[in-house]
Amino acid sequence: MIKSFVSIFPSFLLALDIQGYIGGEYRIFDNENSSKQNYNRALEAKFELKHHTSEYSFASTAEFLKDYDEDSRTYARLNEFYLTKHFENSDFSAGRRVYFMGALEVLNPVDIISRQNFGRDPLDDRYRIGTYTAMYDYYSDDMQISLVAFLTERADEFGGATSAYNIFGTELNKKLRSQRGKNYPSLMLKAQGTLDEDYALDYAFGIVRGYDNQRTFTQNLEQEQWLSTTAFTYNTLAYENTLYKLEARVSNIDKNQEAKMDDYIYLGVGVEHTLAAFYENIDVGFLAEYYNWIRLDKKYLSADSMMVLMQNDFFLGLRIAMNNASSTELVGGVIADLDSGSEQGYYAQIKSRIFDTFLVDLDLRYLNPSNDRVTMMSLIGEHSRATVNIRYYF
Amino acid sequence: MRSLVVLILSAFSLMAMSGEQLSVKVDSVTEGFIDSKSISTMTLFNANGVKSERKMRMSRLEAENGDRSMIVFEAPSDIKSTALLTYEHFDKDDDQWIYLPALKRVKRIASKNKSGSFMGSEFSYEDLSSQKRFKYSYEDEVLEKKSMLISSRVPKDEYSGYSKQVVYVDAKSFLVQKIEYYDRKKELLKRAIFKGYKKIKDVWRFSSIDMENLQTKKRTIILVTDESLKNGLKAKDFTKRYLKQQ
Repeated sequence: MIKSFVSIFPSFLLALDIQGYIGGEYRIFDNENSSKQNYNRALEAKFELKHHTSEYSFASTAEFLKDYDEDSRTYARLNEFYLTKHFENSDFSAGRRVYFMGALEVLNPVDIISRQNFGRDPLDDRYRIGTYTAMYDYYSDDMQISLVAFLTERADEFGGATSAYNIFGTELNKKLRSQRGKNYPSLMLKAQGTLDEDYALDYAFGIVRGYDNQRTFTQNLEQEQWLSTTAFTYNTLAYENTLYKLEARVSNIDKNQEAKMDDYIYLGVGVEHTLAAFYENIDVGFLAEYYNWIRLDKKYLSADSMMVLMQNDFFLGLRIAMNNASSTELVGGVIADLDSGSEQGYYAQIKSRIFDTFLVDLDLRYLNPSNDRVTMMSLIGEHSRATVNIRYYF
Repeated sequence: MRSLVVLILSAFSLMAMSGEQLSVKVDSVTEGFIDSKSISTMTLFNANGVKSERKMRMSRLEAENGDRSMIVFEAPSDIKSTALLTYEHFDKDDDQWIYLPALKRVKRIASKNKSGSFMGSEFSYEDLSSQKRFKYSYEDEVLEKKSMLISSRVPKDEYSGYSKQVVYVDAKSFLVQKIEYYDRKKELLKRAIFKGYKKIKDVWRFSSIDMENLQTKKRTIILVTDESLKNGLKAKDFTKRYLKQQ
């Protein structure tokens, strides 16, 4: 057994596909609150190993970030490590992985399996933390059925006391309180496919039984997760040059004497229209999205109290793809809180490739919080930030 | 004497050939590949000659109602493993999805307008889709000039980026040698030169296309290597399941 493993292992190593990046990040803040730090300097790296055959595949991702000004942002994590066995019409997969669900661009209300890496950047949901999963996918000609078991064992990590994004005034307790212990698995059954008649519709719907994605906090800043049964759907309809998107989830919370939150609906709708070759090679895309978090019983915690980021919020965005050799892309947008006319967030990003292996990313954000309500943004306070990120890809 | 008669007769038949008939001849030598797998290197040159490279794995499945194709990017490294899946339809809009590995996300692309640039190159999505004859209407007259048959065709798709294409076909082999593309303002926009034809499993395939934008002076060359045909690929190899496994 050991002999055959030793003989196979070198060829396995040679067949591994390796990719990733090494980079640096510099961020400056202009904070309303002078006790918060006003810059970050960080080094980062990501290494991905993959191996694929017709019978099985293996994937692993390691992530590193060293922040020289904010220790709580520093981490080294084997974020993904999973093995998939392929059958004729199905796959079985187990391990730690990032699993995405959704259709919208700014936020995905149905993306409930892999949590955002809030410690790295609470304003950027591209960074996700891997989740322990075991899943079985069955594929028919026009549909995929998935059964997924997953653990939500990890407490969210937020910035340290001096972080611009620490809204608690002190370091957050990393304890996660769970009704039935943190190793109680959640189960998801999902169906997805494409209807392709006069129009094309990508649809997905399913049900989840387990810990709810929406968490609450105790007085001493411990995190709490509650059992729920959730039904969800996410859909994209393509018609001519426009995509119409709908995401929704309805959560029914198991209410016991301690319960702090009630049943709720989280809804998002969006439109994305692209003008290809608008000017020479330049493509221009317009995006509009609306989100609402609706609690069904007002005696429990409000969305503001639970730090729900997009609640009755509207997003308007623009994406310009220059389609040049550097793949230069400009993205910008504004998020407006419709409950509070004053609360807005602005965002602009430009990224471009240089020498075919480096990617330069400049990201500007401005938060203008509500002055009449206590919201997550008002606890962060008014501030602007600029980030330059340079990565070498291999 | 007999060969002279044959020559005169064949010249007469070519003169009488319509654009539509020529396109049938052209399709007959390039169709029937069933499926293909290849590695393509795309070199982009800007107006000053500065170049940039993209590398991709391409596979295609021939089908009656529209080909299916998968393109997996290998370089530049920041888009490595990004994959594009296309279901072509002749009677309605294509279906197109892109897999973004950094986000683990399969995203649908609205693909009504295919005139946009493919990866910043001088090729549009339209140029890289299949060139089946019924996607065009043809002008009757076929000209013969220096062993080339020259035919004009107009894309039927109202969202095409072109008002007209002039196709130059070798009179002996019926292989396309050159296409001139006219923009919506009816001005000459681009010129593609097809080179390095070789026969793989009885089907003629080109090895390179040199596309020059005559208005901006930018150029893109696609070099096709390691091409194999009739690999036994099936429709289910062109699904979102395999898009994510790249």
